[in-house]
Amino acid sequence: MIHPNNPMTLIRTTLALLLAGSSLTHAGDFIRQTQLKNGLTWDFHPASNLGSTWSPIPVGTGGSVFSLYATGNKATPRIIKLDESTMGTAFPTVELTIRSQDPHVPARTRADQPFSVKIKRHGASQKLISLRHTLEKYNPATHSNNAQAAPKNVWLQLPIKTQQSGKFYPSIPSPVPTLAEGEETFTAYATGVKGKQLHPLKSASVQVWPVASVSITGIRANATVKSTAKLNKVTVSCRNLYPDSVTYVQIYRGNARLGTLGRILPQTVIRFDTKVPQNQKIPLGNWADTLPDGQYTLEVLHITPFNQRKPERLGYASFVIDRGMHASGLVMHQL
Amino acid sequence: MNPHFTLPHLSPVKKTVLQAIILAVVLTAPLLFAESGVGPSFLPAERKQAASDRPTAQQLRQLIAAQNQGFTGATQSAHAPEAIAPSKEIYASSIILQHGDNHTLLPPYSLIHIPAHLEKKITRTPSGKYMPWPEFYNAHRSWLFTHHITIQQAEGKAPIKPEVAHQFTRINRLVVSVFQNHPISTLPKQ
Repeated sequence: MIHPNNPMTLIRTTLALLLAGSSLTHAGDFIRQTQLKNGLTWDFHPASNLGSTWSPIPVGTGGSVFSLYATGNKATPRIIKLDESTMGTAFPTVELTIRSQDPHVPARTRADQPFSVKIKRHGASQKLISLRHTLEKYNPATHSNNAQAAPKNVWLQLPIKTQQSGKFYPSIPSPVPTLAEGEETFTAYATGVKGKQLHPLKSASVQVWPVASVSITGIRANATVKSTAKLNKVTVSCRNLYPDSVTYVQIYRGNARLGTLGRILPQTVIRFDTKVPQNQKIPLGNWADTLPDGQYTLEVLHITPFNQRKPERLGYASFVIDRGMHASGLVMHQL
Repeated sequence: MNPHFTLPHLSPVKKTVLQAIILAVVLTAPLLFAESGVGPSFLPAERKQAASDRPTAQQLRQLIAAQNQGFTGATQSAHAPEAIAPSKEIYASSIILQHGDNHTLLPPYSLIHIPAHLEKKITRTPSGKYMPWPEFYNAHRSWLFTHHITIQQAEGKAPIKPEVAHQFTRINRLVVSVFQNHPISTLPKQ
């Protein structure tokens, strides 16, 4: 581990700082350690993805840069840099973490949900830390990096404190803020021995996914239908269902009333545990055949890690079934 | 009555069928036990009432405008307060070895012996797919060799013994300097 209070001894650094920081490491990844003073470079190719190990090469005066590289996929035949950190007696040691209501690792949130950024510094260094906040838009068709859009950077100069945290709402640029998607990265920088240039110390990222939406077609709002055959043709199409979500359709008597516990249509329950948002057409089947005449509301509900996992209503449709057949007596039907 | 439990005798056909079923379950386990799926079994155990509607774009703009965000006491700017130390692009700061459709990367100054007939293995314009060094080395031991050096030798503070360097010419392979089995630079004499 790092011994920030003993600058006279060789400082050794656990390579797990980088390996553990990324859940994307797999066979073929490696860490390149480069000494800032003389350019000496060592490529460490770990045999396994787990655990930690000491770097046998001392950081030395001037500091060292540790860069984590990963193999790409078929679309990216070259290696890509996942993380980078600069360490040495001339640099403050920092921990940088991002937290969201979604406990997923790597961190992710939704366009309308805040996240917190916490920075903790160790050691006696009183150097100022500058924070670069990078906003990178994703391509909504692929939910991945958009080569056409250049990232936007904002710099924050932080006061010298041992620990501080800030609350942020996603700020990925988007004409419709609820549809914003991309990645926000915070990178801490400090100047080195000569004090002229900024070196990256640590970075942390959070993915931002759009808010889900629904389109209910085949029925006009508050329409009166005489045949349930028409209702059976209603379609429910969802977009951008959150990667960790349960979505379902329920129905109940009367006008729309948020918070009503209606009858869940069992065939409509869909659970996603994925890496990116999902589009899904929800099958309703012959859901309306057994409904007696009356007023009903069909609701599409969406449960995510946010809002204490309480359902959010994506959309609804109210309608009246009137087949034109009326009994002389009062008939009660339990929904 | 036999007190010891014994497996029932299965015909070879039944054994084969059983083995096939076990294999099918093992191979499809990631799908069978996947977290995504359809049906009421995926509903949470506790049913909660819907508490809110999906926010509109306008509601979100108003919400964000009303929030106090960021770090207390931090100043914001569109520009870095100092110049940023240039980050070296790895392909531009590495030795690249190419063989067929694969290439690998080595630290600069890590090739300590290069026979003339193997210079063609070094390239500045890699093609094909990146292959990690351990895999590349194992696949091409016929023309690659590693030599373990000390930190002092890596830093250029101690030389590689002449008799050792002479041995490289007899090996007739590209020699890569390594430290604890991982490629390392051998800097020029300091």
